[in-house]
Amino acid sequence: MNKKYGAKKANALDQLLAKINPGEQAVMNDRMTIAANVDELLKQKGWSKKVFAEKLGKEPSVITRWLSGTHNFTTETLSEIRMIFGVTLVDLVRECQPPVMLLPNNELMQSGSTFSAAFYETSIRLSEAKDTTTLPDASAFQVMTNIRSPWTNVSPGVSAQGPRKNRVNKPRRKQNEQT
Amino acid sequence: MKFKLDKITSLSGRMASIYTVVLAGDSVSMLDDFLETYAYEYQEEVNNILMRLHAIGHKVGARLQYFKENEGRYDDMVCALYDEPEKQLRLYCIRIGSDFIIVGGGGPKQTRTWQEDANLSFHVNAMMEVSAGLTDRLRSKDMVWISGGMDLDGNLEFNDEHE
Repeated sequence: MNKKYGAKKANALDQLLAKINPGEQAVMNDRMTIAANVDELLKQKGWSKKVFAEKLGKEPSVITRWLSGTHNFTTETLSEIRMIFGVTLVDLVRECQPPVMLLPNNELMQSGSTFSAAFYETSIRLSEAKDTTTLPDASAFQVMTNIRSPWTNVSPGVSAQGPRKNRVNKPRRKQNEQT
Repeated sequence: MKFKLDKITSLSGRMASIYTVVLAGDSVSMLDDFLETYAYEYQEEVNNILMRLHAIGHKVGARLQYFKENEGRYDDMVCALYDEPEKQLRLYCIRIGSDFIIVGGGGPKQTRTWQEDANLSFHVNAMMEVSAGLTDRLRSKDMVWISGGMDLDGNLEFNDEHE
């Protein structure tokens, strides 16, 4: 062990994790999963939080809380949400999938997979191209990549925005600014 | 500031990797220090934050909607994790996409801004320094993304005051 850092002692993290009730963890997982799926559905519909709130007759702050993954949804609320989106309750609790990246050979790759640096660099460029608050539509993405956008018709839980946001984009942009 | 980055394997999963910061001279990470300090007084909030971190790593990823954004300077990716919006406890993080976060320390936010609280200022400033160090390492290629961008490889110890 590096002497600059003290000898490791039994950490609080492991002790506290061991005490977490699996049932409580499952409830937290579900809350955050529902929040993720609602956010994905909002993106697919192109609705802002304000528009969604108006459709439900709620304040936008209520939607913000729902999306934070801290809200304990009632079945009534879930029914309201799924009816507005025109989906099933199952769609709201669908398990999230890892972010998907587009590779130059038009294949999709989930993060966590091993792939070449060249592929990764390309995915970063594509990520930058799509890394905007107002997403370009699918046709814009086709022009950039000369392929059909894989981000259309994605199921809830899969990022409709495409590749990850922010990954080394900022350092790269700063580097470009210097040159 | 001298520090190193450590991956927290118990919290990291298929959806996101979670790293923490160990300051030079400290025997525990900033996250462990946070947990030890507040686990008793803020037991419920600490437990919920831990469960949120576990869910982020294993189930849902580090989606932006789960964090309070722009806690640091513009563009440094420093944000805060919390239990519920109206609760006080804040855990400061650097969020780089939905599958990678670095967790630091934090504390109860009882002032309007973190700048008004010495403890929070220390932790936010520490994360801003970590963010700056990380940016420099990635720019110089002394540190690179591996495993599809979910892990860092290279020299994870930051011993220079100014890199």
